[in-house]
Amino acid sequence: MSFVKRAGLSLLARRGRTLILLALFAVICTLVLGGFLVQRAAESAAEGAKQRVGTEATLQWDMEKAFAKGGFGGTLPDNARLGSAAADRLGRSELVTSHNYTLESGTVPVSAKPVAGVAPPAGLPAEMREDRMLPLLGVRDSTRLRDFRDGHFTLLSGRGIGAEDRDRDAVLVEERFAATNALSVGSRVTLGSAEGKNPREFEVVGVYRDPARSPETWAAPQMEPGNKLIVPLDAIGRLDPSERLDGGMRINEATYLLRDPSTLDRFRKQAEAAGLDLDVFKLDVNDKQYRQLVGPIQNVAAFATGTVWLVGLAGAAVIGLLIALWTRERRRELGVLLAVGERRWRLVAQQIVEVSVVAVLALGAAAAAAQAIAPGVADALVSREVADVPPPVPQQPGRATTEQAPAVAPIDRLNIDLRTRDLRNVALVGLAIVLATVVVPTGRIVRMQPRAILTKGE
Amino acid sequence: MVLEIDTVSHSYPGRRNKPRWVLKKASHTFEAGTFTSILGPSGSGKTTLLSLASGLDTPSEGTIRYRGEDLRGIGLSRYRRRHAATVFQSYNLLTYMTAIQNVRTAMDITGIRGGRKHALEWLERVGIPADEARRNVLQLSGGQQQRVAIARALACDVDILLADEPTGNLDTETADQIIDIFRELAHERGTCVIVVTHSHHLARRSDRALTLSKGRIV
Repeated sequence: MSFVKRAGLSLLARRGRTLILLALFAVICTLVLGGFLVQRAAESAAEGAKQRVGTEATLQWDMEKAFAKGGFGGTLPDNARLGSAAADRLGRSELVTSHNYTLESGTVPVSAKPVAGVAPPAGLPAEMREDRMLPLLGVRDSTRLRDFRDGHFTLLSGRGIGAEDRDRDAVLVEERFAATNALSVGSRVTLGSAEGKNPREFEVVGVYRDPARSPETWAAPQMEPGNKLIVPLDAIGRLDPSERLDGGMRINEATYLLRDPSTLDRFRKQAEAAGLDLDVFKLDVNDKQYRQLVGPIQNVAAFATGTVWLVGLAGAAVIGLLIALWTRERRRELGVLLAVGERRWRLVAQQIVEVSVVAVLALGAAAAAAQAIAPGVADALVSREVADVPPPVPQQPGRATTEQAPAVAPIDRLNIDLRTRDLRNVALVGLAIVLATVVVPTGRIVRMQPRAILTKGE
Repeated sequence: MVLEIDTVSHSYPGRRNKPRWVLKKASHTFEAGTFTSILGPSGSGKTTLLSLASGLDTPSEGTIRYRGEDLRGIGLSRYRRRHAATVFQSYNLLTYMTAIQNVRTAMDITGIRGGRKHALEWLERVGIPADEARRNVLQLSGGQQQRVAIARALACDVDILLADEPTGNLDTETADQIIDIFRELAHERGTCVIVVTHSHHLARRSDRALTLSKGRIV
């Protein structure tokens, strides 16, 4: 009779003990498997969130740094100014999903009049009264502007400005400007430089809405939200050639959406390789969106990891103690087998088989139980974490377009599904428990002298 | 000469770890085909001598040889598995098994083929019929359990059979049957049978009787 058959007979003969061990193992396996499922679901959701929002790195010219480094008086050398050519070189990095840049400038309309909410007060100096300068924002891709991304600005008609508009004189106008000048998609409007020179005819490619209200008192046209015009960056260069730089355009800042927040250091090196002096430009990372999205699930994942370890270790300890006690009770049986000549490894193997059979049955039960229980537990945990997240601060009207990443709702659901990998992981944990709990009492068996058990020792 | 006890002494830790010698320079040679009984009062070292001869322990001093080879060289576990089987006074059966499963377990460990049929033959030979053989050993009487223990040892087909008070729990008739089996094993199969006993009846029916007194063979 092989030790495997002996193990089977022992399990059947000691049904009560087998059932206790089975129940204990099933509970431990269910908790560990549940932990693995939640952990993997959280990892998967975090990965998805990473793909969805990425991490935004912002490259900006830092005036203080530039002057401190250059020590020049008033005129900046080209390498101390941020240019679209270098920004594009960096944008081609494999670490970058997409990039954008902006330049805030001004324009004087030739064939249009500014939106004016309140009439200028009497006594306002003539130069202020006659100020027609409008805010002009040069972009590579208007859809990547945070105001559009987070839904603060809404495109009412037409389309946004894209990289393909680089050589076109296209303009995106606010609905109040469009209404004031009877403009719609396809209309044409003539704009000049901030000095009123180089007038060029622009085609209205889209009309958007900025919910920011017009000032309630008179303000210069630059301050009126409805006057903001968005054009391709290079169009500003056509209006004002002095804004050209290094075969491209001067820009205020460039934003890069990184695939993975952990690649920031590599990205920083690539920025330097692209000719951007990071002693002059500052590179900030804003992974607030990503953190907002995944914060609660990372907490849940950490909890799940803790649970796996705690339950695994506590379970191993409890099962270990039980098996040690039961092995102690079976000393005589082991002594008999040793006296008959049984090999010690086969005694150990019998023990391992007995516990493994129970563990495998428990794993089967746990697979069914964990799949049923884990989604509810995960949702409850995530909901609790989400409830602890403070609500996003409402956006302030008139804030800078590229100031902060838009607020996002955190992930509040985890997609739990059981995979072979999870079962394999739990099986490995179970195997570790079985080996640890059987090997300890085995030390006693190996040292055991059959005579000490079976004879009186005269 | 199948088994040789050569100036064997054995001690157990006594008070303050001082060795308590229970066997003192014992020497004897056991031949194949001989049924030997060992007599002696309690504490004379009979069971210790049997344990050492069974390979359940190693002597503190001296050597035990199987066919001229030191048991330590053979390996005690291997010696027990291949050459010597022991019948214990307290049966030492596996209580979660039937009688036949107990016998088959020993056969498996010692590598004896023949399976169920072989096991049943030995059980029937010691007076356990097939229907009793299928019962859990705890459902058998003490005498039946002793017979199962004897059948387990006999089924292993070894050169040396050692038994500690094998008939102590048996009625006279069954005890005689067991003694007959021991004699038959020794005389017809050439097995070296060594039995520790208090029974002078058994000693009289053995080929040789040794007496132990205060750890010495006298």
